[in-house]
Amino acid sequence: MIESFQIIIAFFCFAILTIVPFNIFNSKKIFHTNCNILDLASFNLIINCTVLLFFSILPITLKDYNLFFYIALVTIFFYSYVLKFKNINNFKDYYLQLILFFLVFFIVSIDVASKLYLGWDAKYFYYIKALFFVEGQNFYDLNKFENIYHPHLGSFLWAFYWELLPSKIEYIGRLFYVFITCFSIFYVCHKDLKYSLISNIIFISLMLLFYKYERFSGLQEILIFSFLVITSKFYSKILNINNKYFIIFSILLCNLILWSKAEGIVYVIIMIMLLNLNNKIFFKEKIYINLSFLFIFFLKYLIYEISNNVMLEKTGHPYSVNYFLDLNYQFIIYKLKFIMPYLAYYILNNIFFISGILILLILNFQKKKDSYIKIINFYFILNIMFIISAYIFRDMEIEYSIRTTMERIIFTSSGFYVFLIINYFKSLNTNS
Amino acid sequence: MQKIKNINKHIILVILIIFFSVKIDFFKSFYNIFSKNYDERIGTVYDFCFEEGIGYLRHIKKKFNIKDNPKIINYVHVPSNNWAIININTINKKSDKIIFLNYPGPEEKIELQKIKNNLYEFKDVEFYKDKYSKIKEIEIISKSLPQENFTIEIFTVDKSLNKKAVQKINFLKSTNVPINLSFDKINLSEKKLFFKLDNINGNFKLNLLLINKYFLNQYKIIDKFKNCYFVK
Repeated sequence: MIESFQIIIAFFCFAILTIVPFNIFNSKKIFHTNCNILDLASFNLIINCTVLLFFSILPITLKDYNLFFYIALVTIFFYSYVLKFKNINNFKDYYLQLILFFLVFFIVSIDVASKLYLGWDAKYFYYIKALFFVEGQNFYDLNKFENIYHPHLGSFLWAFYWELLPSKIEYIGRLFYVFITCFSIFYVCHKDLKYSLISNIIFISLMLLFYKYERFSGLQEILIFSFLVITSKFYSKILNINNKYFIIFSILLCNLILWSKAEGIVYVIIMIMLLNLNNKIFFKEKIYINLSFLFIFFLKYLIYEISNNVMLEKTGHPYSVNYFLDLNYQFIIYKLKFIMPYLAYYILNNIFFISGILILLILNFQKKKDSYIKIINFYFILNIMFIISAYIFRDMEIEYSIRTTMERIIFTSSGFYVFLIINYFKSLNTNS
Repeated sequence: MQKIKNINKHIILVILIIFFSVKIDFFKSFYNIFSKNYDERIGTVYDFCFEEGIGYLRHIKKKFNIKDNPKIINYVHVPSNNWAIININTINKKSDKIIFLNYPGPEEKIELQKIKNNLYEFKDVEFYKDKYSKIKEIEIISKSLPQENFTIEIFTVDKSLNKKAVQKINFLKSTNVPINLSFDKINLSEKKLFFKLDNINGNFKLNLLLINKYFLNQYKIIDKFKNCYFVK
């Protein structure tokens, strides 16, 4: 019973990340644009995750600041919602939506709390990294761990909430992944926080189709998946309302992806390329976007250099220039014979990926093609190229490598199709 | 009218939520959390002294208040189980203790996997080479004793498909042949190990007898449960 209560408290701890620092009921006063409540909630979540990322690289232990961080959040909440704008009662207008969101989170969380087992990579990398932060070490101590191939953000977030609540139970940290996932799918399903039966049905249906415990077993793919889900809606907003804030927050999301997993860099490059291909963004803005990308990329590199941490000599990643140069035509064909059937198999088994491709095909054959479809087309091409080349250039036994990783890569990539799928079904409903 | 509409909205949502709950076993999971605490649930998720041996690791960590990081040697190929016992603050501190999980005894027989006609693979050889010192002998199992002499060619294939011969053994109308092939003498890093029968046709099974690297009589046993050992 106490654990169920802690899950509820954890929900409020996560939820506050979406309502501060910006007052979500005052978008016009803050941004002078037509961002809605959910847009602002997603901005808040991105900002707070970025702040946590910043804290994670400070040479101090988690226990020194996690409580203060939350005191600051609660203080901002009271100042903004109770004292300054006095609009705390606005939450009542959306009670049905909020209850629905909470219930979905709670149901999934109870399943996570009951099953508990960790995924293979979670046992190997992420749990131990999280344990570093829980046991009073910081980012600069991670180099003591030999398997530090992947960046630390996911493990840090896991540790942050594991340590924050009094029970100090490991899975509470993983519930943050549940929250981010529920939020990202809720965000793309709903136009606004106003009640919409069809959006709610889509939201619950997607959660039903998508949910399986393994996604929350400590693996980091779920984070990139969720960030891509949010990005896909931001990209649509950039096209439709050309709001510079969505560009800025897309770049911040890219930064979070970059710090979530080693292959995050590829998704970030694809995202930046898609922004460059967007004809609604001015040339000057594109220059800033590319400079921002270079900044976040080199900042990460610099931080790893300073901390004598992962990524360089110690990574043990399966890619090398020598291997690339030694590849010959016959060997590439041999590898492709494994890659293509498995790729088809895993795509067919991923509901978002296969639906995304089918909808993309349908929309491409329609006469009126909007710019968003072009963006998804580019994404699809770049994504498939990435997956195939990742296995061709990977210096590992091919079948083993595919069997152990391809399903997760397909799953991660599928996040960008979710918004397209939802929009398509909503448009069918509108047309009928 | 508005009130009825609102009630309908609520009912649809409630139905959706109930459907969602049933689909992901919410009520069973909730009962599980309600009736068992975290440690009890962990105990049921992971076995005590089987496969990952998480229960045993947690048990000895608590019982012996382990502050360093003993080496864990698990004879079953399952995910890493260091996480269950690791002490981060002393992560690089070497321990003189070892934990054996699923210890098979001084020898173990394993069956080779038939890939195609007369070609067999020693699956997961990289895992075995860390636990066993050598292949003591090969055993060929068939309905009748082979009537002719034949050879077994042992070779490795790396990830770029380069083949390298290791050894050739002659079977002289026998079912067991000692080969004493030490794992130290073969570079098995990211390689597969194959056994190919030459000059013989038929449906055979091939077994290998492996010699353990670790013998319990060389250690002082601190704790024991079935075939899980904590030794020094």
